[in-house]
Amino acid sequence: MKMSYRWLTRHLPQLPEPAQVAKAFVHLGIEVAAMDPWGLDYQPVQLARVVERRPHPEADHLHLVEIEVGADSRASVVTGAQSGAPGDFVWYGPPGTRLPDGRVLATAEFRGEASAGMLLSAEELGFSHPSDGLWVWAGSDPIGTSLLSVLGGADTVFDLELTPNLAAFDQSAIGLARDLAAYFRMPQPQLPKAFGFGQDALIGMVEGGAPLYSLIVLEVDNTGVSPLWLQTLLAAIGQRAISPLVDVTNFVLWDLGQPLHVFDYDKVSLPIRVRNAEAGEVLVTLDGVERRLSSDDLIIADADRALALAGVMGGQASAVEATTTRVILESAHFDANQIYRTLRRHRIESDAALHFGKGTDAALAFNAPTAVVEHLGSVARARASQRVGEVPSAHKIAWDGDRIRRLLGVPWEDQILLENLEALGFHREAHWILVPSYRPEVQALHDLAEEVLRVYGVDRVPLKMLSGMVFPGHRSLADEHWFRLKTAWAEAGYWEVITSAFSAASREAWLDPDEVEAIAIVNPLRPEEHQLRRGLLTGMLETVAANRSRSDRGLRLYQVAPIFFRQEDRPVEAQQLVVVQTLEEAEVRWPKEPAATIHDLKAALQWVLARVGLAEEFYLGPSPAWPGWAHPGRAIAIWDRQNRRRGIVAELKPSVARWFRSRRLGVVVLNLGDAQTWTFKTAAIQRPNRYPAAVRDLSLILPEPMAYGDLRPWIEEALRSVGANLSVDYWLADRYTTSAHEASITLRFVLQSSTSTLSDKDIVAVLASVVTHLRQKDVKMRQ
Amino acid sequence: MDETIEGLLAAIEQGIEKASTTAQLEEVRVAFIGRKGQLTRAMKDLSELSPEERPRQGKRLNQLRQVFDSLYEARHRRLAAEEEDAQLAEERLDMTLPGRSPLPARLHPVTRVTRMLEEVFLRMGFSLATGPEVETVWYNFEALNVAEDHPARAMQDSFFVDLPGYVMRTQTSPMQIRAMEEARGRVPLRIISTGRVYRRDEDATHIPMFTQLEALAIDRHLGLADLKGVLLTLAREIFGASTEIRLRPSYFPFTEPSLEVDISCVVCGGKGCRTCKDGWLEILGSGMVHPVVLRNGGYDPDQVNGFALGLGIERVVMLLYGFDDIRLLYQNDLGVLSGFGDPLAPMGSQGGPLL
Repeated sequence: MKMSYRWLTRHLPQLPEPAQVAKAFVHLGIEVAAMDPWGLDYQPVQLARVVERRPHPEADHLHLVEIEVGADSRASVVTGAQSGAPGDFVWYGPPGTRLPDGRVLATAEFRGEASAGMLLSAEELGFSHPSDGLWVWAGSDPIGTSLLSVLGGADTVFDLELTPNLAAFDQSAIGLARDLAAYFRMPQPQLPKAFGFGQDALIGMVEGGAPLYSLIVLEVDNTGVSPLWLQTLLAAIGQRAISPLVDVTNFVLWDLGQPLHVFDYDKVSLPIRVRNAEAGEVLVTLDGVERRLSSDDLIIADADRALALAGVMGGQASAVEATTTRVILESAHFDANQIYRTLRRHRIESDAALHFGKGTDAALAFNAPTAVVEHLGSVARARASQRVGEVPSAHKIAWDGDRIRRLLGVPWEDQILLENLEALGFHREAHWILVPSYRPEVQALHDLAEEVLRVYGVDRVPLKMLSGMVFPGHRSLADEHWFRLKTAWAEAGYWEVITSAFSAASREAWLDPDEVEAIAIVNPLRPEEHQLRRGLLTGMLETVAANRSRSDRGLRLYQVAPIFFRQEDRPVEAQQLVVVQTLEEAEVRWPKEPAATIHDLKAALQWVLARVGLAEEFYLGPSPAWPGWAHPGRAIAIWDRQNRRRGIVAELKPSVARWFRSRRLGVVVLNLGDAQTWTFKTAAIQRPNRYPAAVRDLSLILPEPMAYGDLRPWIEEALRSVGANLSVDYWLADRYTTSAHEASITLRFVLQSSTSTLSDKDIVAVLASVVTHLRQKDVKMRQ
Repeated sequence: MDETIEGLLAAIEQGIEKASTTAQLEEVRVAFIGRKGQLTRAMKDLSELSPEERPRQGKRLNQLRQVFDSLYEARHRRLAAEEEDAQLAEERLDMTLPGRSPLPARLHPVTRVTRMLEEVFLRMGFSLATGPEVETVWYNFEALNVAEDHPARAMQDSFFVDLPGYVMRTQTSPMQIRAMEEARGRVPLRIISTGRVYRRDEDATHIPMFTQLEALAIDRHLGLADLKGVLLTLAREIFGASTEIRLRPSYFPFTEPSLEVDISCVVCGGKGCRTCKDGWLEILGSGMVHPVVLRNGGYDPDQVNGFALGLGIERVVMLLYGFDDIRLLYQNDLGVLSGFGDPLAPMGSQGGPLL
């Protein structure tokens, strides 16, 4: 909201300079977004006397005018205006003058005749004046007078940001002045007295949404212009003068905070009624929009039809025109919630709606008309009036200074608390605090505490530090697990990324269709974000594509985040891990990095699971089916201890990888489920074994379709059957394919006892058992 | 025998001197002290001498053997060094060539700063709780004193979902109510919650999905003065010991009084610059928990007070790392992500006590 410093001084003549006022605003909780000088562009515009006027030799519609702009100082200008006869005083903009529309005047040539700047009309200067053409000045100011000095000098305009609680009472000059008066300890500004309403039968029925309602029939001469001081104040806050009636109601809105409406008397059939609209009733509002009304909309109507959306916007059919001479001025108090609902329903952000909708001072309904009539002066005369409703008496809050002190944690005596409340216009009466009518939102002690704090200052609150019992803080188990998992992936060389929770059916279409039902976003920012992601994979692969469009470096990315789906009418959120890795030689670079393989990605997963103690929670194994995007020959499933399939490690089909700007991509998808159910196993710490280890290699031939992983249970069984008291570690030492149907592998066994040096007999017994078991499974020994 | 020994000495000296490689030197060694070497043979020949003569010649031969060993050792050391030098000269590399860098990775900067903030609160005795991102309208709005027609709902434009009664949470504040319900009136209650929140807003400083930290404390004797202490501690732990805070009255439906919290500018230290304009940077919102909210969480506002604060974590990331476009954080460009080192300000307060 914009407010002029000069306007504020009308209520507080002793107001300190603008910089101090800005500080006071911040202190009071009113954010000052900007503080700008206003009117400096009017400084160079000078009062000049027309000395001579003659036709332009080359153009019929132009004149050459000689003007006097100071003692012995003259200028020649070309004008198209007919006004400005010799002897007239007119406003002259010399070269360099900036006009409100942004034009900067220069010395220009019009058909061979130079014009040093321009003679100006009121409209060009941003004001309204009854005559067209040049702004002929009727005042007695001397030649050379600056327009700015006639306007009252430069002003400062504050651009203020009001939070909703402040908007209820600070959306006007008087509201802001009340806050400033409290801060600077000046007397509170006063409202004009209530208008002396008559008993004329103008108002019919008034329904609940309008506790106070009044109408005044005015006879007006709306053909003139508003006084310059009023136009200037409106201009400073960005409002353009239109006609006396419009300007004055506008002025009262921003001065006192009371929205007013004016109907054309001759377009209305009295009495006026305030009622809820009938569902489907139609009204064309002032902005030309035909609106279908709801039964929750409060309207102003006459006997025949809806005239206006109460407190929000007038109707076109009853609008005042330039020639109107009889009007009905409406001043009312509406229920803020009702107006706010209508404002939202019809998306009308009119100044009236933004005032009524946030709450207004009930007392204004009957006082504001006094200001209107006063400012219109001789232009208007009241012919009839009526009011309905009584301004409610002051709301009371039981006084409890201790409660305020406890809430704020301050030692301030009652006297300090009360002084600050009284400075804002609150009164103490016995054990009660009387709340002024302009602070309807102040309902309880904590509201009073806030008021004290705003005026007296947060800076004065002492500093304390959580006295009382102290307990150590802790993380939730689940949070600790997620964080360990994330950290382990980073340690393994994978970068954490965070992708958007929003997705679209079209973006996820390449995945297997609709295993779970998505939650839709009713009001997405973009069509491609119309639902919540059901998996992280799409976002992760799009991240790969985005990175690859900028650089061909290898990528190792992961994310642990929730995915969303619906179960009937309830949302389900589940944590998922997705890892993606490019499996191809990265950018041309020496020394060469070998391309990662899907086995490397699988090993990383196993390393991470072991690292965080989940190695026994999940295991890898075959699956009866693979998703459509997975390379069927390069995939392995992730199973949990209850033998539920929880995820996959796989290469993408190259045709799918290409969509994401890659030749080969490996992915891990793991639905983590509920971390609370996990059992963590960490390896026991053991002393170093001082007995020598025996190393033996076994070379085997695996017939198709036997896999390396198939050997593991057989070997484990063989070792168990020997039952020797020794530890056996084994791994794949070498592997090569001998034909398309056979692979030759070498296993290295490392045997060690913790109690003695192993004998050959012990070693042979173990290996013989392994060989026997493997032979039973058709594994051939290589010689 | 005496002549033989004299001759051997001369031959040893000459042979060792003439050897120019360790291989040649090895030949010399074999020629003299190998199994059939001259010196070895002379030793064997001692047995043929008379018992009187044998000790004297034996002693001389032993001395000769010692001379051989010391000459050999010295020569071998020198030749080996020369040969190694020659070998190393052969192995010279262009040490300006690049090698393979280690390939460690890091957590996302938002995750790291979230963790850092959590640690500050954990040290102050707050525990961490987490909650759902698709939240009920009750927890997200109504329980927090934001009725359906409340203008505050327009302040934070929400994403609605097609599940009746649910909304993408616009803030982490619903966790206030969830935590209060779980605590069932117990005091003191001190919790924080961090997580993603969603608002329909997008420009250089706003994104539709961002991360918040919420803190809530409830106790019998707890006032705004305690909130002030926690805010100053937070500011100094994160931005350094010389950081100051400024509190401005503000408005949030779920707190009253409400405060907007500024910190002294991390760029200019509070003198005023392009980043801050007036020396202060808006950093978070806070206040005393509204009585309605306390009641909705099962606490009696006549018996206890509470304070709450909500902080946009991306804002802290941007201030710590000194950049001004929030969208950079979520483009997930590896070049950008790998540029995030450790935050500029040292973690931990090096200053004296607050109070």
